[in-house]
Amino acid sequence: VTRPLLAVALSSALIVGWISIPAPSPSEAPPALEPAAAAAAVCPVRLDRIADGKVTIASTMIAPARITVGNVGTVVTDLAVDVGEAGGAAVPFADFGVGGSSGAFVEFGVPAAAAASVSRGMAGVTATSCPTLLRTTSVIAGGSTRNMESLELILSNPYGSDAVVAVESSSEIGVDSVDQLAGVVVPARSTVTRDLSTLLPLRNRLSLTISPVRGLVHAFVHGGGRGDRVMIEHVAPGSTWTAPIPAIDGQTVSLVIASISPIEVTVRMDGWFAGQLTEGVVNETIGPRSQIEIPLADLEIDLDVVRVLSDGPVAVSLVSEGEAGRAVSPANVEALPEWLMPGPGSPGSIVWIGVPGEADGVVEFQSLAAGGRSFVVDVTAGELTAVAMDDQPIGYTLRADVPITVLWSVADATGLALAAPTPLPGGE
Amino acid sequence: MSEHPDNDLPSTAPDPSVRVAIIAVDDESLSAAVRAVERQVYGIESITVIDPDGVLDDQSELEAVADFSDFVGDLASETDLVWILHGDARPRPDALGALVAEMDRNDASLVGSKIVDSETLDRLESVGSATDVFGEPYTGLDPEEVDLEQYDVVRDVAFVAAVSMLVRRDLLRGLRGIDALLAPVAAGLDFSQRARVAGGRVMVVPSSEVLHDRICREEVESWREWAGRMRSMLKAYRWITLAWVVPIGTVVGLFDGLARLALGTTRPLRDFSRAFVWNLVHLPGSLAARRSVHAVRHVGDEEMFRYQVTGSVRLRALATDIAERFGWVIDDEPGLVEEGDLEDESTAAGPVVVAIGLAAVALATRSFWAGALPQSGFTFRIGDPVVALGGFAGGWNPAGLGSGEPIHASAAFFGFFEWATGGWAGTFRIVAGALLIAAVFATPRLLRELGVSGPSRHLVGIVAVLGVASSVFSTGADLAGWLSVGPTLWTLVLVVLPWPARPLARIGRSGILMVAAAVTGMLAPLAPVVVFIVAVVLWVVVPGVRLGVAARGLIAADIGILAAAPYLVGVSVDELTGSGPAYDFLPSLLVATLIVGVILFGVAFLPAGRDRVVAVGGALLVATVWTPVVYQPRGDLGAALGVLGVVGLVLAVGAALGFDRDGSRIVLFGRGVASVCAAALVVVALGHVVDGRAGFPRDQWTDRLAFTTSLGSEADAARVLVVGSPSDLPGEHRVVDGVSFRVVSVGGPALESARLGDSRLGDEALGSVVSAIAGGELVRPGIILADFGVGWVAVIDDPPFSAAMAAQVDMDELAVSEDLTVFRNSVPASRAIADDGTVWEAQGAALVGPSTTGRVRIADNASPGWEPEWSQDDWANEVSGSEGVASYRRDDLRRALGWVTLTLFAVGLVAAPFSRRSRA
Repeated sequence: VTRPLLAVALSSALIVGWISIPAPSPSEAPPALEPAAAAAAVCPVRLDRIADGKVTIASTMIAPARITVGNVGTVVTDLAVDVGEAGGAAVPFADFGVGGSSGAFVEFGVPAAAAASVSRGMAGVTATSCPTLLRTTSVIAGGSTRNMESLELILSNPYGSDAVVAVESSSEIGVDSVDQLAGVVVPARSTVTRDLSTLLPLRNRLSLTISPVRGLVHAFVHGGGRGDRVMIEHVAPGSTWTAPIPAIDGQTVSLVIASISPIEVTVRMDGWFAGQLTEGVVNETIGPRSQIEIPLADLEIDLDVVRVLSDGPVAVSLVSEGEAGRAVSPANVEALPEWLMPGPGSPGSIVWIGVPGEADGVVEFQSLAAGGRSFVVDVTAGELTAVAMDDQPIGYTLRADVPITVLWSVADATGLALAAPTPLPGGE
Repeated sequence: MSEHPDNDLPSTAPDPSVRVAIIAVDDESLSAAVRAVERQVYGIESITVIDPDGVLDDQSELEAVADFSDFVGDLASETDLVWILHGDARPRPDALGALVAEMDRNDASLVGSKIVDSETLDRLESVGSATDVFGEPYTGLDPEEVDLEQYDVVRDVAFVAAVSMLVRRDLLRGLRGIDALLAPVAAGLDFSQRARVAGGRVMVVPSSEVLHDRICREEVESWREWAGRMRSMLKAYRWITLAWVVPIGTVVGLFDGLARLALGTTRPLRDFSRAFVWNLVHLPGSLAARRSVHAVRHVGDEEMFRYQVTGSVRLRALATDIAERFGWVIDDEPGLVEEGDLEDESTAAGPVVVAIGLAAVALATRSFWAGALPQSGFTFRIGDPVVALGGFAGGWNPAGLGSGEPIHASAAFFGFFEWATGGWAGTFRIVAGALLIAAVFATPRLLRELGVSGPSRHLVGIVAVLGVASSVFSTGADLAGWLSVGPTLWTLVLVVLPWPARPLARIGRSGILMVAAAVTGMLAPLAPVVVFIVAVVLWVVVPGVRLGVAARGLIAADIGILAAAPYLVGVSVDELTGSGPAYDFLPSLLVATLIVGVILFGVAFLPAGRDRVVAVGGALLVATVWTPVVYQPRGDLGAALGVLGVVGLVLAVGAALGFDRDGSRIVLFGRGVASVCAAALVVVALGHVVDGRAGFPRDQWTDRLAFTTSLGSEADAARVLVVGSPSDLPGEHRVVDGVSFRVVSVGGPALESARLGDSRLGDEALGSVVSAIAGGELVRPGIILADFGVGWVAVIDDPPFSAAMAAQVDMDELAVSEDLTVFRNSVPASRAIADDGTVWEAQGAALVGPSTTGRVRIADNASPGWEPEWSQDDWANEVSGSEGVASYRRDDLRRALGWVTLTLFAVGLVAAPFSRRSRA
């Protein structure tokens, strides 16, 4: 009798014991984070005998920034930059102590910050918005390697890991392929350049697709010749783009649309003129990894604002050419009410504002320079507004009560430059 | 004796003259043989006795020679034929006449008689035989088959019995007689094969009948026949045939031996081994004899193949034997294993089978001993034995960012040996090897104490160590848990053994029990509970097991837990049950099926007593398998559960293994199924022999982080942040936002740091940093990681984290290996640094540096135990640098318990020898 009783007792004890053991927490790990871009950007810096420039920083808060420039694997310049009360600062290229092409890595103190790079010289003017980190394939659209023109690809890697990128190109003759660009190694804290006018000569319109194989880079192209210079930054491809069309005397504007899609992409361009939206001004199909150019002068109407919609990933650049010079800038990804606009700061700077909507509004300009002025500009739905900047500020913060699309230009006797501002985070 | 009697030979040729060579076996039978020869109808020329052993009476008038070759050399040309006869044979009067007549009529070179048992006068012994290609005879006769003249056909055969052979003189001279080294049957086979290779025709003449006393076979060991057959092959076959016959024959012999071992008899394996060795020893002689055969060779091996059966006679016999034991008759083939072979040979076979078990375990773990210890999961070498021992007994635990939690008892156990041997590299292996050997030896002992006999139980050591056992523990690479099986089984043995009556013996037994239980507790702190559970279940279920067993089980469990108490009192229940190594308790479908077969058929059909042992084992197994379905226990509870399952497996398989031939056909069948399932589990266990790591993961960490010391960093960084998939990380890890990571010391992980313990302030802070890095928020992670003393980040196969790390600027990526992305912090990182920037270094568990009036920041989890003058710095510690040393104040209770642990071992080791003395 004893043994069965004990057996029952033991079994019961075991059962109670097992039940009282806490069940372990699920061991399944949550999915890994997708890394985002840090509060940093890279500005193209090209310092030579005939050009100088500056990097301007715009911030919504007083937060010190830091600029480092790497060369051949080591940090050669490490600058702490005080961002003034107004939220702006400018650092001349000469302070970086690096000749030729390089990338200035700008670390912002706060996420709501942006930087731009403006270069002037005898050979022309360039203005570029400094791109933040792009982890996937990016595009530079609107370059050219025509006769008497130079075009240099600048790949800047400010990070601690070596990078390898694959660069593909397309032009009016279709998809190009150059072995020398198939796997470009960009060592850590270094900048590497490739002469595209030698590798891919005589392209009227040349677009580049930059795909990181390992590591990360910031890519630009710098063009020269024909009396002006251009600097174009890479952008992430998307399916919607919008831009005001700068109306500069003697200049004609084209849109270059480059696709990274492996299949054909259908593109529709809508336009506003005199407040009226015209949908489907242009309907085109872009071949796989190809590009198209839309000369706006060939259209029956003069457009103030354009909107590009596509069913695949594309990048859109505005190319302005004419008597004033040559300027290229990516379009805005979308119309937003708030923008950070470091850069425009000398006579001849104009801010171009388009309202791709149906409501009129006002735009408040807040100078980023100490003691700079603030003012308000009325904007009309579906029309283009040009605001001349003549008080040499470091830049502006733009806050509108309607979504706006913005570009800014700077021109002098040597040339013309066009650049896009940076949307403020959460400014929708 | 020269007269020629009337006979049936054709008269056209003179009758051939025959000399008789009688190979003496013993004097008495020889006389009978001589008389029988003298009574032959066919006249003979003379009789010569071949007497190598000198059995012939000195007074005998018979002509005798000691060596057969002397007889062959003396053969005169007048002699046509030689009749070779065993001394224990008694030919019927017409035997020689029939041989001569049929030889002449068939133009044969070698003819043999029909051999009949002299006792029964009608039981057939040989009517010529076929063989298989390995020389195994195939008589085609039933063991007791009676001569009804059913085989009375003159025919060609593979060989004839050497009991009575008539051979042409010239052939006999050419072949240089019978090989004196060979046993009787093998000698006939050898001579017949050589005769055939020489172009002779070998036939059996059933009309020539010879009675045989079989004395010649009485003192011949069975392996001698096997050895003779091997030698015969070596001599007769061409090289091209030997090239495949020898290896295949070896495999067949081994397989047959092992299979019969599982069936309960060791003789075939022993015979094969001895025959193999004998042939190795006699290889030169065999090759010389082979050359002489080659000199007279007239035909190829194909001529021999004509008289051979297909396949392996040995394997067919094995299949028949197995079938017979199942109660089935699938073949009428007589088994090679005779009744006597099936007796319990545990006494003689034990050492052999245990040796096989040890060899299997040694093979399965060969990479442990031959190469580097496969460091991965929770298996690592001891980093610093002093830290391991101190951390176990109340000191600082350096795992991760450190804590006051105890270091696992197993690290202290191995740390003690490392410390005692001055850090000798082989210490870990020696201790681990001893524990594995202990497991192999413990199983048969435990089974014997539970009434399970037979040599098969010795094989269960393989099951205790390999197969399911190692699968359970290799999942989390918990070597300590695996090794705890041996001491657990020994503790059980000591618990089950009858308690000695003599006081001195009791002291000795208590000492051994104390050591075994303490080792069990140190390796798997909750495993001692298993001893108690099993002891109680055995007492309840198995007849003959007394209450004292349960009582001793309770005492042993207490001792084991007391030994591990410094660890157990310092860890949370969550740590014991939900962290640490993971275990895989769910067997594969095949193994589960076999286990079910063992339990069901074992309980239903095994004899009383053994069925209860199977029941106990089965119950433990079922509990082990079902519990994790609900709880998935890890860590120490998981290890204990794993040990419980292994003990259950050992009991169930050990009791079921080995055939019992008593009972009805259905009982035989049931026992057969249980035994086959148990044997299959042994075979499955042997599968772990292949990788040489007993199923444990490959070595991932030996010298993998050696670059951290060889390359150095900006400062003497203390730590490496390792990020990767959970299975790739060393020991325990933490997870934040889908990123698995942990911190290890530079140089690589160590056993004492494998378990991280509960997450603390510093761990949370580091987790936030890792999350920020993974989220791409940090451009300069190096400066933040330097605060944690992290000088390196090693990313193992984690593309998202590597991608995130690609966008930072203050850590340099280094090309170290393909599967490891390494970043070196460009910011100086130290575990302890003084206000003045001086780096303090670890010495054992303490940190030392130059005395300073300032404070020293220690980048470990904040704990007030640090001194002197501790204060908290966010998640870290600050102490005064005035003494030039910072140390952690040990927990008094755990330190005291640490002394208790040491005392347990000391007392046990002092008392243990009394057991042997009292026996003496």
